[in-house]
Amino acid sequence: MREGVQMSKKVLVVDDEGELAELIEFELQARGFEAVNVTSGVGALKHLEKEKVDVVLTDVRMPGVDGVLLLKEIQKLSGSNKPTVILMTGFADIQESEAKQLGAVALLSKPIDYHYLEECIQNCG
Amino acid sequence: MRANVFNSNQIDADNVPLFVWLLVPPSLIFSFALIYISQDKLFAVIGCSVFILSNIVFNYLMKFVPPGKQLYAELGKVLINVVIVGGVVVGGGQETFWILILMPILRATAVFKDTWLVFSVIFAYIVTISVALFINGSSSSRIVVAIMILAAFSYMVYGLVSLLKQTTSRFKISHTFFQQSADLFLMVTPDGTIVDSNSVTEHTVGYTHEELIGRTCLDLFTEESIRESRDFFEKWRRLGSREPVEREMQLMARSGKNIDVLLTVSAIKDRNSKVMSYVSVMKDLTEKKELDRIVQFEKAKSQQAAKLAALGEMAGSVAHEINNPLAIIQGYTMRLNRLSRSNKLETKELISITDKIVGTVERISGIVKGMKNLSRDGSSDPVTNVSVLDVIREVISFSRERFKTNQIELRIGPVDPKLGIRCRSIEISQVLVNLLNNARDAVAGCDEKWVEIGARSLGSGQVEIYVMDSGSGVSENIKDKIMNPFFTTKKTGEGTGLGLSISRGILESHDGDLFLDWHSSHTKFVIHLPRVFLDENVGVASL
Repeated sequence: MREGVQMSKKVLVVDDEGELAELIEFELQARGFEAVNVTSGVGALKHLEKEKVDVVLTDVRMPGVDGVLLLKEIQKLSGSNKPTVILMTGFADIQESEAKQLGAVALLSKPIDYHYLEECIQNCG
Repeated sequence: MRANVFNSNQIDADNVPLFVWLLVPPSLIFSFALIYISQDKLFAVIGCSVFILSNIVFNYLMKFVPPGKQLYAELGKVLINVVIVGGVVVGGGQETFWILILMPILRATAVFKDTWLVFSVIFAYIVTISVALFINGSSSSRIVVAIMILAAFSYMVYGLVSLLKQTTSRFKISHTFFQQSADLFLMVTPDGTIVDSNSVTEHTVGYTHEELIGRTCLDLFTEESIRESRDFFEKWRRLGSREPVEREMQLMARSGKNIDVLLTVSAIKDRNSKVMSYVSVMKDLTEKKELDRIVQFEKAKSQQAAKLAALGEMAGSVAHEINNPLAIIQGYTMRLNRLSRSNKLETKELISITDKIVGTVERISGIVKGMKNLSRDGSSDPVTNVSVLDVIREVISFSRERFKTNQIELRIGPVDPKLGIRCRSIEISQVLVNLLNNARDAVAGCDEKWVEIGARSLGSGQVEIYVMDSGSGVSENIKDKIMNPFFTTKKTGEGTGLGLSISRGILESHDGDLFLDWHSSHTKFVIHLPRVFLDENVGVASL
């Protein structure tokens, strides 16, 4: 475990399926993270303008601004405001290598392996 | 038809009535001779006139005798002739008898078709009588008899030659024609006995020509085939067997092998419409049937392949649609776990969460059911009454995800919940999914992206279901080709080009139609199906 663990990480959960976004948020909170959820890529970008987060956990397949586009937008942000991005997908929309190339730290598949997710969040930043 | 060619050839063959008409000149000669030699001249004149007139009247009346009754009519003629001749004999002397008796014998040729035999009998008769009269008769009767013999003899020769000519040419034409034919040929008598065959038939059924001749043609067909067609041919015969008829039959070869044939039968009739024989031409369908079977098989295979391709394409969306709710169930279960571990779980929340889990499970099972339905062959399902709204909802639930992904708005036009169609609903759903997929692909490059699906009732007792997209229609140069099998505008590997042609086939099997609406400013595919009205609750029941 790394030193920064004591300070709880802020996670922004992005999924167009609101119910799921909420459940992930709840689970992350239960695991000791500070979590909020939004239901669209645009919503996520707006949230990032207002507030700094450590990790963005986003679904890939979403209407409008999808996970990949959101990731690309986030990559454009400047250093300190730039959160780590974890992608999640219901199916093989993109390959893990592709996700990493685009700058995501991990590609999770649904249903979510929360142990791995927790690890990823803790390891980042 | 080939049999017709042969049929037209029958006109002068075995032309007994014409032959009988030709008896009139010798009858006249006989009559004058009778009058000349008769002791009671008035009686002879009356006798001969009655004789000639009765024959003329009879020959005319023959036209009205129904086929099958002609034998009796001919016998009647002979009987009347005998009566007249008997009368003349009683009043007119021995010579009259000998000469007049010739007439009924000649008339007998009209009844007994074996011309050769009759001619031989007549010839022998004439020779015998002539010799007897020459030896015993008066000199005047000798002259008359000589003239008569000459007349009768020349007439007979004429008749024989013409008959022989006709028979030979007919035989030649039919035989040569059918020998060279690639089809099977049989000529049978009215009672079904085979009288001629060609080598193709012999080769196909495995019997020699000699074995076939004299055999009943029923022996050559399978029992089932005879049983099934008996009524058909019986009816044809009862109605006078005017036109040649066609029917699929099954031959049974000597080897026991069954051979499918298309049998064409035509009746060969004499001038009085009496059936002389039947000509059967059979086309071997084995190859065609095999080809049909292969085509059917390939068609089914490509249909299934097209469906599988569409399914593969959908697999991604389906997996997504299943994994999302699975993640939800996972979330709720973990929440339950956490709450109960910390003793914070209240009954109210337990009920609420489990309800949500059950609802999510149902969502997954709905998707799986849809996928199962759309991937299976529904062509042999029974036709049922279904709500149009239900069909559209099912299709939409299946396609929604992919439209969302491609950022295409999927609109549902107003649909009357009572509106129903009679169909195999899986097939119609498949067609609609296919149309939606096409529309989705078509608008992918457009600025404005929407697809609309809707339905309305038409005045003609039909239901119209349409799939319209924001595209500006189908370009002029592919309009004619768009429904053709294997025609596609998609890239290799992306479309089979079978969708629309298969879809149209499905609609046609429903007595419906699928077409592109040229009048619409947007691309609009329209389905027509027979309408049924449903009870008010049916449309909602399955939701």
